[in-house]
Amino acid sequence: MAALLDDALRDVIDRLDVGVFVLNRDLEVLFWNNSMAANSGKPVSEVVGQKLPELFPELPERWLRKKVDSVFILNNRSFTAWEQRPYLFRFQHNRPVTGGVEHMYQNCTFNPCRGDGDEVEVVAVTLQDVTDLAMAHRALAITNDRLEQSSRVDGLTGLFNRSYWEQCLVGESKRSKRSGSEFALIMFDLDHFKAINDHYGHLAGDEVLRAVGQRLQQLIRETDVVGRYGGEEFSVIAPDCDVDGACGLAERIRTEIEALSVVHEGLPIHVTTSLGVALYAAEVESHEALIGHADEALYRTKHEGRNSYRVYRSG
Amino acid sequence: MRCAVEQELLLETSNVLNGACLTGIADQLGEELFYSPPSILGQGERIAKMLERDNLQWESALSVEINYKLENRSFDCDLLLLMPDTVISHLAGKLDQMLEDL
Repeated sequence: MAALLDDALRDVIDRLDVGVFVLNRDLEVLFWNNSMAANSGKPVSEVVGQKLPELFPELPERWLRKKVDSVFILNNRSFTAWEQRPYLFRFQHNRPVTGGVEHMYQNCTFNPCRGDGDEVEVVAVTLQDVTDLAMAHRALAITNDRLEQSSRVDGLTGLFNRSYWEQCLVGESKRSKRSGSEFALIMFDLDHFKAINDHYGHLAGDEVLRAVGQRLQQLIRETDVVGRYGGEEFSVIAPDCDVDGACGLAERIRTEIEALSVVHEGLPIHVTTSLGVALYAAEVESHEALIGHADEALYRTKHEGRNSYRVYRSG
Repeated sequence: MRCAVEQELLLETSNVLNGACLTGIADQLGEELFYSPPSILGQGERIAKMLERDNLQWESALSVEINYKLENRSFDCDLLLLMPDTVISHLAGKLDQMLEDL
């Protein structure tokens, strides 16, 4: 009865759709099931009695020896997961639809097997095909990235939207408070934008906004954060920036936008912009207060003739 | 890539420590343990956040904290064993039995 049961179990293990093989301390293969034979293309007769690293030179031998040794010494199961080590053996996967994946993702378990005594005599390794799971995870990660991206960006201009831009401002204020570094906030809007909409139509207005967004992205530093604050209102956070730097940036934005020529239905449209500059320093209470300062400066620019910039003065 | 190697090392180390500790406890209790592969719940996060009650299936748990340090090496970690209320009675039964056998 026991022999029958042993045979039956061996048969089941042989036919499992999980790779199973058994190694001794010298990494010699003692057992190799059907799944391993089918996936590796190496039948039992070629494998049993041979050393694994010699059969598969592409295996990370040093790592594998350490892994197997630890199981022998500690009598403790050990694992590999596809997230950290995509595969042990470079097998082809059996998916009909590949999704750009060229190999089988694997989770492996190294099980210590004791003989009659206390010593571990062999290590039985199971190898599970987790390609489906890995592909689903990857697809999910890509979707999440895209979602995160689209939840941050204003669809029309490609700039950050207001809510993400505000998050950045809050973050920058905190960072600045901690490190004592200065940063600049520039708020600006397009002069007489309503007239463009009224005169050329809203599509033309949209085209102007898109062109301004594109131009802004080209002229800011990598660390600057530029967002669309509202309809025709934009805002730039410029970290590690003093008054001179901020004025330089404001003037550059002003001249670049003035130089823009947006062609709509064969007609060139020109816009100018009015800017307000505020610096974040220790005495500024909050990020809201800073927005207020930049707004105040912007208001002054408009009041004093537009197509220019002003810096906020306290008091 | 560096990140994956680091994570693998982290899992390997945790597995060795967990395995040694749990096997020791199981041996003393005369129990056979089954455990699943270790996984990373979070990195650089506060443990309290990871153990927020909404994320858990149990109300309360017995917690055992074991500190590991290596002499002359900058290695220091805590092993936190959390035993949910549902298994405590089983554990208590085992402990009673051990005490009786003394």
